[in-house]
Amino acid sequence: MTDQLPALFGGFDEAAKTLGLERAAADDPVATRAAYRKTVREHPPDRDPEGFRRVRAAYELLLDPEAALLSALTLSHPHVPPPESPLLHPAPRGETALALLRVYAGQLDADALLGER
Amino acid sequence: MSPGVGRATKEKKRHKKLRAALAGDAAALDSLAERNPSLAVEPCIQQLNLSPRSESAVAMARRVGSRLRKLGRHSEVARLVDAEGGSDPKLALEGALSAFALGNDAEAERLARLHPTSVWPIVEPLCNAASSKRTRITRDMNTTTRSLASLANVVACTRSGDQDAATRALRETDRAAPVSSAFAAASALSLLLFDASGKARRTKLSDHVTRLLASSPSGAKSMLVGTLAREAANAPLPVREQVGNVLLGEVERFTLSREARTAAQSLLVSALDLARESRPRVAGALAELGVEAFERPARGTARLYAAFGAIRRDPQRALSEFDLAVAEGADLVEALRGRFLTRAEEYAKAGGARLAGEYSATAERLLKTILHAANTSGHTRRAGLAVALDVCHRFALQAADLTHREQKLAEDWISRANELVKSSSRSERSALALHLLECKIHETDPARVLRAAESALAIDPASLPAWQAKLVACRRLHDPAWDDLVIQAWRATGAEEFAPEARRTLTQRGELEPYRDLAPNDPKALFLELAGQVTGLLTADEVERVFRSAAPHRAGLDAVNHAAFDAALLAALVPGDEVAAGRACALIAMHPDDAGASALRRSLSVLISAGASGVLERAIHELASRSDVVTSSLSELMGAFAVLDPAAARQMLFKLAPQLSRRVLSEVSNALVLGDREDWYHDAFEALHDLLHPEICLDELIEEGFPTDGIADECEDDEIAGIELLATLLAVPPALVERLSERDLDRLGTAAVAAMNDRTNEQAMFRLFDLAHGMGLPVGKGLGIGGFGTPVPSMRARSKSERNARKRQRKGRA
Repeated sequence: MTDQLPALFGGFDEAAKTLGLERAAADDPVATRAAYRKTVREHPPDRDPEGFRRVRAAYELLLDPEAALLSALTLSHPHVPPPESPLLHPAPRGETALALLRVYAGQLDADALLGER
Repeated sequence: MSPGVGRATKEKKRHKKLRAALAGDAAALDSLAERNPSLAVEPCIQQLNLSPRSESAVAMARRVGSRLRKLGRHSEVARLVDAEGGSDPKLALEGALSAFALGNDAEAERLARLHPTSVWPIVEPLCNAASSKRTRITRDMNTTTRSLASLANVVACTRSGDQDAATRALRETDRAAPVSSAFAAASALSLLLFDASGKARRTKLSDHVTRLLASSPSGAKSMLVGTLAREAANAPLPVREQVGNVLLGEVERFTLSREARTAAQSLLVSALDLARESRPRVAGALAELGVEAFERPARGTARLYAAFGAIRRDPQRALSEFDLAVAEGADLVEALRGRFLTRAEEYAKAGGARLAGEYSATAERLLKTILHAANTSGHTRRAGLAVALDVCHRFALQAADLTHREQKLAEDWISRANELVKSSSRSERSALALHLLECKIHETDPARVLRAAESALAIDPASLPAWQAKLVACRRLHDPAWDDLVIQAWRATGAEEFAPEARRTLTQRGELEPYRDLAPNDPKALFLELAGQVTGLLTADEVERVFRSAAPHRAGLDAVNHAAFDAALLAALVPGDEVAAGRACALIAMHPDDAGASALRRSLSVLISAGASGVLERAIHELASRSDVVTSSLSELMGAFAVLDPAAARQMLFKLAPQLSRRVLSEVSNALVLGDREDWYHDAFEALHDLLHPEICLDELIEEGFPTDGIADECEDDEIAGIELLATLLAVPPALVERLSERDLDRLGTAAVAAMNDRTNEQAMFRLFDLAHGMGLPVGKGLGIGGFGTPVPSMRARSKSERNARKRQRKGRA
């Protein structure tokens, strides 16, 4: 058993953090409501609309976790973030032309290059 | 001789030859140089190290070096040149060219500078090109060297980004030679990749890539694809995507190496810009591209995304990808969740005990993993409950077709969900959902449905689906208190669907006056209330009575809703008694409202769509016989009749002529011409349709598709066949079908299926039922359309098992 929550619950963990709740306390509606009231005072909608939206969304998620979990369960893509793009060492401009020149140099006829001088 | 013996003999001969060459046998060395130059390197070095060095040893080294360079074995060329010391110009040139081909420009320059007049002028343009410098082409260069220098200058100009100079340098090359074509393509590509303004010219990218690969040596194609992909990695995202797609196509075309494919994929994936793209799109793209481009540990997550992207298009591949993803370190719960969704998808598509068992087993594994993943939060139990509810939901969707084994599995999951509900806090909503699912799963057992519905109502007394389930179960159990239950349901939920039945019972008991507390300005409510006032088919006289009792409320409707009410009333009356419907139509026409002709036309469009010419004929007779005839209304009726049967309309006008004044006759005659000429009824019907906003989505029915046996089989063009078929089935003009198919395919599909199911007996009833249904009227519950009080065979009410049985029958016939 691990204390690491699966990605499925990532949203809850984040929501609990937003409201400054312990993970276990996030299950208690009374504690959630109290934490919401406290946190929302720090992010009033007129001064920090973005913060207020975040706090409100976290509160709604913790208040109705069943619906959120059901939709999280049937989500058609992973909850984990997508992987980093594979590392493709970029080549400078004209590298393809130079690579072609190197290929061509490997195939040249040395006699012809020297002989007709 | 077996192949093994042959190889051994050849090997022996080769060793013998090698020993002879090492011993100084010139013929053996000559043969080795010809057949296997790599083996000739060691004897050549031995010969070169002899003192004094013979001219023939240097000549042999030149020959072997040249062959090795062209075979791409550059390190062996370097060994030969080292042994010789670079004193021979030709061997030094071999070494310099080989070093340049290998990318060791400094060594190439060192060797070439050993012969400043003979070798350096040849190698200098190459070294200059690598450092983006142009070389001056002089007259003393021979043709081959000049050509090489020109190509090197093309490369130098390309690297420095000087497009004009590159174009000029290209002119100096032999443009007919294939190699020039490859250089021109490579140069153009490099310049296009970074040309921010050259949007239009990007269309040529594909041509250049194809030309580059077609003109380059076959052994170099894979390497060039890789290099081009790396060069394009600096380009803007759309260009990257375009080049990546083209490269992937070329990799397939030339069947190039895995590395080339990976490079193209990497470029495409980098073009995705994973950080910004939406996750579903990343999943779809990776499912298509594959994940070879990713290294571990990112590959596990990439495969997880690819697997999610493949769930719908290829479930079997998705399942194996999920397994591989776990092996490559992807999130276990997510992979299991993906497997769970895949199995659910499979089960939903095909059903059956085997798939149900696999689905259930996958769900069980996910449930256990979730419950053991973390125990510090009540959310884990809720997530487990969500899994159980989802499984129950899937079984409920198949409820009518569940086999014994599936039923058993469903019951197991219900009890498992019940346990989880009990152990979870704040789970009332889930408990309610579970009881409702129980109702659905046990739909064939009304006693169990009743128990589950009552449990649900204990949690939420106003739950509409719980009341619906309870009423259905009670009806099947022949509960004598059914009427009271409907009233209770109506009072508890306030649902519109219970209102007509409840109001009718209350009215019949004298506990409620007709039309009292009816929602104001609501044509649907008025229509249903009116329907509740009568039992059995209406006679013409009853129509007038009922119509007059509703008249004050009808007058209370605004003009638009007024028309809607009239249309619904007509649609309801048509299949019953033609005389009664004609009377109603005449009554409607007698009381034109403020909206006048357009409102009446909407009502009449319903009759036209139903092909109810008999009703129109009756209505015209009724109206013409009245002394207070409204001329415009009579004209509209005649126009509508003319649309359906122009000849009969003219004949009727001829008969009515003695009763009508000259002015009225003239106006009505004009209506006949109008009826022939204009498609006003299409517009009127559409306006009515738009007005009433059909609320009922019939997508379940449309899943079955249009019936295609019969008429459609003979038609080549599917679309026309569909329209013709529907027009024939519904007995309406094809143009109307076409218009409706653009607006409301669901409704047409329902009508077609309904008509196909029983086209001989009650086609008109089905058709009209559907028209009213399409108008958003909750008919089909024993309330109307087929005659008041007559149960209507509702398509929606048909159970899934019946639909599946019909599907199987159709397949069997096919």
